[in-house]
Amino acid sequence: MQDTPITINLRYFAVLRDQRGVADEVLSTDATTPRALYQELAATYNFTLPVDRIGVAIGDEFVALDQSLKNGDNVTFIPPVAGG
Amino acid sequence: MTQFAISTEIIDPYTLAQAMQHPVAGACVTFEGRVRDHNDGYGVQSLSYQVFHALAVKEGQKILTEAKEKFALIDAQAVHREGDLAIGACAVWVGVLAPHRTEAFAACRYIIDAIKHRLPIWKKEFYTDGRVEWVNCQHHDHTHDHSCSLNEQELYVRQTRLPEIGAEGQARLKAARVLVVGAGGLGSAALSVLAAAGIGVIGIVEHDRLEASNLHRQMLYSAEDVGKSKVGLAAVRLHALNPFVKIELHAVRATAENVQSLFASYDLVLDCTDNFTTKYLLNDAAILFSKPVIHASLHRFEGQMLMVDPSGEGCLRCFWPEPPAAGLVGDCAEIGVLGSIPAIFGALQAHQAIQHFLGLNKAAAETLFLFDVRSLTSRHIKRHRRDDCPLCGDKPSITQVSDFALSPYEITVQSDDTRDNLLRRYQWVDVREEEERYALPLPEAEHLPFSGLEDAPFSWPLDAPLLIICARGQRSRIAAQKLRAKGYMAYSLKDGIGQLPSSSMKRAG
Repeated sequence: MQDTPITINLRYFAVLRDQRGVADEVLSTDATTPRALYQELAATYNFTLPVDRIGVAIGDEFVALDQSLKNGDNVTFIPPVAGG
Repeated sequence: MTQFAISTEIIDPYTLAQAMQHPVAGACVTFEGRVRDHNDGYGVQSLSYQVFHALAVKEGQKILTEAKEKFALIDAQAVHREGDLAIGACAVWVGVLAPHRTEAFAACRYIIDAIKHRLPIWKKEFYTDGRVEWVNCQHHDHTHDHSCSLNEQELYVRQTRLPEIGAEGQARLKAARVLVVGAGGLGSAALSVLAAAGIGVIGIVEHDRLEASNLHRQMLYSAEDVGKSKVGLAAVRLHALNPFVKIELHAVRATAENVQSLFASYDLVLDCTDNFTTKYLLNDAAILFSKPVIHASLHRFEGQMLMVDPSGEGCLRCFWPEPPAAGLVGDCAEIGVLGSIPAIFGALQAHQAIQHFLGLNKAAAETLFLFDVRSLTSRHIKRHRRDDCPLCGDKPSITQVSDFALSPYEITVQSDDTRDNLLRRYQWVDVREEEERYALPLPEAEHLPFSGLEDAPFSWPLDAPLLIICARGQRSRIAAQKLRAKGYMAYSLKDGIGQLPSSSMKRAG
């Protein structure tokens, strides 16, 4: 848990966007890592993908799920897709 | 009159020979090419010819005219079959009339050799062991190929004008060998761009037949070709587009067993497939066999492209160590796709391949490129090789290719699963023996007894998830592995039939 909630600019791709219903949003969270943030959102919006099946980027860099989140981070959740 | 014909009807050599009549002809030589029961040491059951009509007839006619002049013939005729032929059937017939036997024999030989070398005809062989292979009947010896009066370099003048390409860059493209896995939506676009750009050798891996529902996005094909094998159609179309490109056909599904040999003779691979199993197989092969692979995948109006360079910044598994379970993200068949999306991404893959051979913008190969075509927004995510990647990390756990990339392939029934939703998600297949089924019936499932698995004729579509069920989950596990080796999306029901929810209510806990 963060001491005080931080603001995250969040962007979704593919099936996550379908399930969330929006492409991006700004939210306030106590989560300290992308993993915790995703799990929080997954519970709220019934995301079907388990957290260890998604990729995450902060800014334009691919990061590990347990990287620390900072106030104002641009976080992107990227699920794998398979269409062709 | 000297005439070359393509025939879908049986060739009757006797009638054709009888029609070869002329008072000054002292010699009539005819040749019959027949379907034999073996090729390259393999038993052949039957075969099918696919012909690029306009070009074949024109070129065939040209061969006959040449022979007539060269050997002072009175007449020359030839017919080549198209379509399905049985062992012993006449596949090609040649007849010549000349004043003397020397010219007649020589001319007949000249014509059949030229037909074999120069006509754009592909042969699909059905082997007795169940395999099917496309064999290019044309030898692509362009020094003898008069089918195209063009100078090859004329095709590329607009691109060689680019300072980044020039004559040297074009020569690099000509020397390049690219394997395209999947000739569907992505593959249609990628293949067209690669062939038009003058890539020297293009291999195509595709085992499907054309369906009407493919046409809106697979623009390599025509409505009249529904039902035909895509790999043959693609070869014909690409040959028409650029006769200077050599097309190699692999009418198989890429599997752990064949992926290394498929990759072997190519410099670069495009992943134009539409399923996780093959995508992960190609990704793993890229790292394990040191071959760059350019992946692209789509979801509705957006897509992703990622190049795996064995010496570069990681692989698909650095991003997503394992693929998701079936049904969680959907495929084109389930969730739909607009034709423009694979066209854009397939062209991008081909473009990335061309840049690779030209040595342009290598940094692009180190990103995950995301493009939402609906809003025209794109993102580049910088990638890094992950130390803990199961494939390319410091201590890899994946050391060989496998057809079981989909994980878990054992399905554990969840507390909120119902019989109905399991039936919606999977085709059930019961591998128990007859007497077990009698004791505990499972009417929803198709029956495929484990004891007869090896010789069973399978009729399921390859992209339909199968749930394999037995008494305790042992035989179903083995059966799922065997079915996966044959290309099916098979899952084993963990711990067996007792785990299935009852039909009327949710299963507790």
